Amino acid sequence: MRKILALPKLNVPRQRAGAALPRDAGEPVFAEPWQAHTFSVIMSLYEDGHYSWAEWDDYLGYRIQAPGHFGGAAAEEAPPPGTNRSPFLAACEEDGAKFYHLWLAAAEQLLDAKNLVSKSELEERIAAIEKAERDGPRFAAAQRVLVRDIKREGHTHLPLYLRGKTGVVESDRGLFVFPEAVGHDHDHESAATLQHVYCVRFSTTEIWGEAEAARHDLNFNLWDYQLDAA
Amino acid sequence: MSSDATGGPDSDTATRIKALESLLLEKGLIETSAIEELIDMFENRLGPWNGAKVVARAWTDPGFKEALLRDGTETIAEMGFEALQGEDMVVVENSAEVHNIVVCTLCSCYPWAVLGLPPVWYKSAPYRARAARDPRAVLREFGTEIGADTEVRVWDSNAELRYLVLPERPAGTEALDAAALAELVTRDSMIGVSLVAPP
Repeated sequence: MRKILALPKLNVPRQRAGAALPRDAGEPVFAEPWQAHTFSVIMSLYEDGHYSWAEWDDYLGYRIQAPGHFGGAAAEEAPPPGTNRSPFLAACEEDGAKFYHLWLAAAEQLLDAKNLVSKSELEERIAAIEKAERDGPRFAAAQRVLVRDIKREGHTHLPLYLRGKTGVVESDRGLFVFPEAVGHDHDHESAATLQHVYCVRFSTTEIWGEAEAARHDLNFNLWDYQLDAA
Repeated sequence: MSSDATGGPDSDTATRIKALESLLLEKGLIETSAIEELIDMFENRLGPWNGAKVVARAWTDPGFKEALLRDGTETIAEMGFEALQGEDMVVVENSAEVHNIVVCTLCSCYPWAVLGLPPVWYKSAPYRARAARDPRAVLREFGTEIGADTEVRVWDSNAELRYLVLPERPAGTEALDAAALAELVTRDSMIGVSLVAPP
């Protein structure tokens, strides 16, 4: 069974004082975590043989295109007062900073052409992420929630005995991709692609009845669409 | 929201790669561990330090230098710095008569195995355009004066073939061993925009 996927967090491994640190410039290898991920996705797919490097180079080169060779550059001017960097080097830094934007645009185009990720699929997922990040989590820790009585075909991702029970949000686990929103086509009532998963705590007596001694409580990770405010 | 990644603030761009990555993960086309391993490799293991070791060895071992200039690809791979995209490596030697400088006029081709990822300026249109048109002026921008008698050779790097400049060993370093010499070698000197300064 495929594991539940959290929305990628664009983590980067810790930088060590290692070989790659450019000693004569001091700038980081990647200016932003998204650049490191954009670069590495293309490398990883290349290493797995989804395209040749020449094919990738073709897409990247198309984005970069030949610069305005032989055009006049404002490079002979004196450095602006108070700086020791020439306008030429400043212009290089400014233009070069756009590089990973071009890399990403080329990546989107190549992945679409290779039927790995289509343009429409990507735009849908971007919209889902933007909506989820704009909306934020519906529930906060310590909030009381009621488990909805969801009726649906197939796997419900919900233990039956929790339906209609009230619990307390222990924590928000973050945004995850709802498995059945991808690939299946059975009825997924209210199951958005991206949902917060909450850890919800139920008392034993709430679930098994008053006769049960309140010796323990139960914690379940539940999807946002399974819950209502209590 | 822009329709592709070429514009917009970085938060939009981060969302785009997050979306792309989440779809690729779902399809089983990438693994988070492989992505993080690649980032770690480029952040921490591939970099100019590797090239500096090649240069220092060439300065101290004439047989190695001869092999390096004859067959850069094989000789560099034998030191454990294997090309990542199967590209060939050519090493070009600076001397009193010739100064070499490397540029990728069309994009950003660069010898990753020995230098890691290129600096920001290397990928920029102004550098790529001007290095081909007026390399002596570019060298001056980097504070490098090349004598009028010295021939400047510009090498255009591409996807199949990448260059490493073997800079001149600075004077006054006769007593240093390869490890100490490697400490002197800078990234910029191996691209050819600067010289190796004496200790």
